[in-house]
Amino acid sequence: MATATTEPAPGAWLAGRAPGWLRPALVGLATIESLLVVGQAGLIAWLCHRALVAEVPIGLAAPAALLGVLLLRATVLGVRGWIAADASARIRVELRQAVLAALRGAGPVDAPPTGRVLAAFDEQIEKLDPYYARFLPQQFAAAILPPVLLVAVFAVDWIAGLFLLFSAPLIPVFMVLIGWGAEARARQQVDALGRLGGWFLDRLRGAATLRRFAAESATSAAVAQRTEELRRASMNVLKLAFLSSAVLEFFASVAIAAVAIYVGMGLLGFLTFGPAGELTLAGGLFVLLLAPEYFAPLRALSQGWHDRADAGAAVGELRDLLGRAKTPAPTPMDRAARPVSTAVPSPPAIAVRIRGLRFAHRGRPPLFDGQMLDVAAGERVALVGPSGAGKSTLIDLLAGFLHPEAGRIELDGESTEGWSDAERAARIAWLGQRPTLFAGSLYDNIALGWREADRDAVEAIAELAGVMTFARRLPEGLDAPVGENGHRLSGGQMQRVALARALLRPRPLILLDEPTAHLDPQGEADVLSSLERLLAARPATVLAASHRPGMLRHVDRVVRIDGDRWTEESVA
Amino acid sequence: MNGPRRLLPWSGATGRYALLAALLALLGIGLAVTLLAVSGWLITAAGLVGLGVLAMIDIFAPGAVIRGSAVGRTVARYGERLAGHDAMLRQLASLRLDAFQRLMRWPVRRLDGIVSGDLLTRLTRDIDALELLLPRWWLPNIAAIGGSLLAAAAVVLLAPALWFAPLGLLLSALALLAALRRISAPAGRRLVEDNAVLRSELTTWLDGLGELISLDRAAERSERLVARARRLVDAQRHQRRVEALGQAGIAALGYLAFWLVLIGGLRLAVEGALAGPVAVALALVMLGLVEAWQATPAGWVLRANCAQAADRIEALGETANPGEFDGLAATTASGGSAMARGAALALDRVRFGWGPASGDVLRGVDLALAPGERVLIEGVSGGGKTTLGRIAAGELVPERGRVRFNGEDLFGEVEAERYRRVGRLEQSPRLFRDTLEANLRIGDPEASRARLDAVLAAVDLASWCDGLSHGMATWLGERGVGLSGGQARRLTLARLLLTRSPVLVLDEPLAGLDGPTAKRVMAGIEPWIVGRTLLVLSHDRFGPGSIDRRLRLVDGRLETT
Repeated sequence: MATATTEPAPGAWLAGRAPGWLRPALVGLATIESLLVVGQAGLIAWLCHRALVAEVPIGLAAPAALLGVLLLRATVLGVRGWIAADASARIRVELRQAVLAALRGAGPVDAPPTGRVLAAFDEQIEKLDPYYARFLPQQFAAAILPPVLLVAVFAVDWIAGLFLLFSAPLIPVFMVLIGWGAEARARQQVDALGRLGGWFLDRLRGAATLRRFAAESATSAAVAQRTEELRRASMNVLKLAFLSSAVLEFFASVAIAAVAIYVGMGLLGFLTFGPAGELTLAGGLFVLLLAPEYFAPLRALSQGWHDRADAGAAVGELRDLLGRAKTPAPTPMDRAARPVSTAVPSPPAIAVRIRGLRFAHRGRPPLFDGQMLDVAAGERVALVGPSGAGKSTLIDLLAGFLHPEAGRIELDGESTEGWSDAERAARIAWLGQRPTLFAGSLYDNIALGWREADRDAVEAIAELAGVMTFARRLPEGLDAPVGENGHRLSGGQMQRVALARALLRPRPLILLDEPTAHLDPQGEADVLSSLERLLAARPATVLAASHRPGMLRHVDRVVRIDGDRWTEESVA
Repeated sequence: MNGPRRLLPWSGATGRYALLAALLALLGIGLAVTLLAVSGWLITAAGLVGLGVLAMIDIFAPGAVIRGSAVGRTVARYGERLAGHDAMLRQLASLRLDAFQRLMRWPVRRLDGIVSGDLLTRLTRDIDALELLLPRWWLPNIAAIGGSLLAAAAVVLLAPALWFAPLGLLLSALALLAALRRISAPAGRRLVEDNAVLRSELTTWLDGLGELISLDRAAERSERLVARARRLVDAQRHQRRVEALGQAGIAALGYLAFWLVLIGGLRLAVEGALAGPVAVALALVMLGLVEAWQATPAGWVLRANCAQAADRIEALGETANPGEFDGLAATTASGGSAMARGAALALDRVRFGWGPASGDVLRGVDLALAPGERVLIEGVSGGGKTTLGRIAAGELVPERGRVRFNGEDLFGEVEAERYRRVGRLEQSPRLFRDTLEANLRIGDPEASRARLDAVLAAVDLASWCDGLSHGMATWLGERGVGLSGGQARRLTLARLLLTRSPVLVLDEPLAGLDGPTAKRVMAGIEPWIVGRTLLVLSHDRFGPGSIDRRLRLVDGRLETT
């Protein structure tokens, strides 16, 4: 209940995403449509009256006017679809932008698993399209057309108006009785269908494994059986769920029938009470023509319930993802407002000072509580300790991927709190366990490290980082394509590329998060010798989380991190 | 472009329900139009009686028709939706089975590529699209076309001079819809391709997020992703706009046909060639058709995408013949209830390369394992150990050389038989979203509960399993209990141990396990591997206990250490 008060309902959240012009445009179009419907019914009734009652030729003007009204109605329909498509497209692009910004804010540690991000970025946001492109326009039509038409019917015959007025509120009553309970269950059924889809996808992914265990026929049988089970369960739910739209259909049909019979009896003179005695053919036809139009938007809306249900389900997931950014990514405005010193600071190495550091992973007891650490400029410190004890977390805090709950991290006496990515990037180089190569050439991948670098600088760093030793053997050299669809590099080669990229721009603080954890001894030796060469050429302060003996040979100090116990150890 | 029709089954219960849905759709539109037309007729006739133009009419028969069609329309619509959904869900089952069995016939090397790629996502979406064809394309079109034909019959019967209006509507609407499909098809194709690229770029961006943030390039790179997403959304918007134009067009055609019948009918009535009430009724028939046609454009845009979806599914290759896989499980299960005895396995001068560019990974590997012998092969990661293991396990055909099982060519056997003889522990553990028990039973469907408990104890997971809220029935994977990498590896090892393969290839069996756990697992699995021939591949100098021989894979050849 607490969340209900702080978070708007999915419907409100969805409406809040729509561009400002959408609502007035949809209101305007629905209003125009309602007037056209009234005009259409009026013209038809008048034409019938002239031809059949007055028995005079119908002329040209009235038929032409009717044709105009009809074609305008078709046009309104097209315009409505067109602008709704535009709004939906715009909203989905903006949401994707927001998701990426939230992920940047969350950082690599707190970002959800790739599968979930892909599902949200792709499938969930796609589910909003039917909502904005179909459901929302229908909603406005359903809100505006019936009242306008009702007024028109009342103006002609209040008894017929009462038929319509009373059958419409009955619809929500019955939909509450039958529909909404069923709708919740039908939504669960949609969920179940989605889960079964995931289950099936999982079996496809494991096709090779299933083959190894000769599980083809058993899995085929399971696919058939599970889908059949779901079909049975679904049909039981749908029998009830479809009743809600059937109720609507029923009232719509019965109201039309009642109006027709009432008007017919009135015209025949069987009814003498109220306005029935004064009914004319034109008035009767007018009322009859408006009756189905009165129910049509409501029926369309009830058919689109799954568009809304799907979108509602997607909202939960998207809201969770968008809420992940603890510190919103700085906007260009913020950056402009702050004096940003992204120039490389001198001296070339920087001192690190940690005071009163307090940090807890989400939903866990504090990992660090009041720790301190001093690293002198140019010092190389290894962080060791059991896995899960906080080595990598400390590196992530220093890199700005995580934010301390309390305490200070200072670089050369300046607190890093609130720094932008650009400010950090000017001072701190970071290397993780598994480097990522982006689609492009080796050169592109290294040059990613510093926009201003020229070819000579890239080649120099590639030489130092040991990239050239294998790049020379490739026909295209540094211009060889890597990443997806490119040359396949070994783990050690990829890590050397990442090293070159991270140190292309001289940075006074280097953070290493187990950079050789996934390498074989040869790869590890290559990376460490590259690192040694680079540090000789570009002195810097180094903090390295590692338990590998190869790494420990290169450091001045060893600090053991075990939760909130940080202790100095002698260098082995 | 007949793909969807070939893929969607129409036989048996599916066909019966689809047919029922189609008939009810026709009945529904027929009754809806009847309700409107008879109501119009009644009002007009009553109006003319009131004015003395017509003699007294019978109000009870039309009244009954009106009430009957009002109720009948509701029932028909309700029945149509139920029957349609039933048929749709049956088709979904069939489409999934079909796709699964197509994949099952792929060569293993082709299967390798699909786990990471987006082919499977696309495949499941294609199936979802095809599944909608019945409710979104078939039924609306049957209602619209059938309704138009009924209307044409009524017009030709009662006012032959106006024949051109309903028939003209039918033909021009179909032409418009076919054009819609043609216009939206290229955008549909682009959608699929762009989506695949976007997904893979987003994956890379996420993988590299730490580096991108630390280099201050995350924002710039995400702009690129947004630009690509925008192009994708533009293609969709194009389809939606085409759909909107189609709706406007089809409504205009429907209204035009209505207008022609109304004006034409009233002129005939003024001339005395047609009864007034009949003229109004026919006009209302045409007006009722507009709604039926308006449901069709969305279906035709979908149809364009479905044709491509069907092409892609068919490109997966042949589907399996009925019963094709039935024999496989039987041979595996009957592979001997006694504990597997070791067999001899030999590789003779095996050569293998992944492609001309990357050179040979294995350059003449000779290896002979005596029955029950345990051999450990070390080597740097990426040096070809896994490839060697996959060849020894009968998955990859060597380019040169032979693999012999008890002296006979292993590749002379069918695939399932090769796998039955040599089991392999994959390097990256692959478990399924299912219960713990179901995951284990993949290794031995008939295993007793005691045997399952024993194998879990062997890989040191017994206490972990006892601690789970539902024990063996606990669901693994998404929405279930999460597993660490080490636990997943041990479970896949347990699954393999349940088979009775006389030769086991273990690829990095202890990777990711800490020292004490690795020791317990080594001791625990001993009773399960005793007597079997073992080929262990590991890049650490570290492998299951009593190893008889250690070899090293260097530059594609084996060396003794």
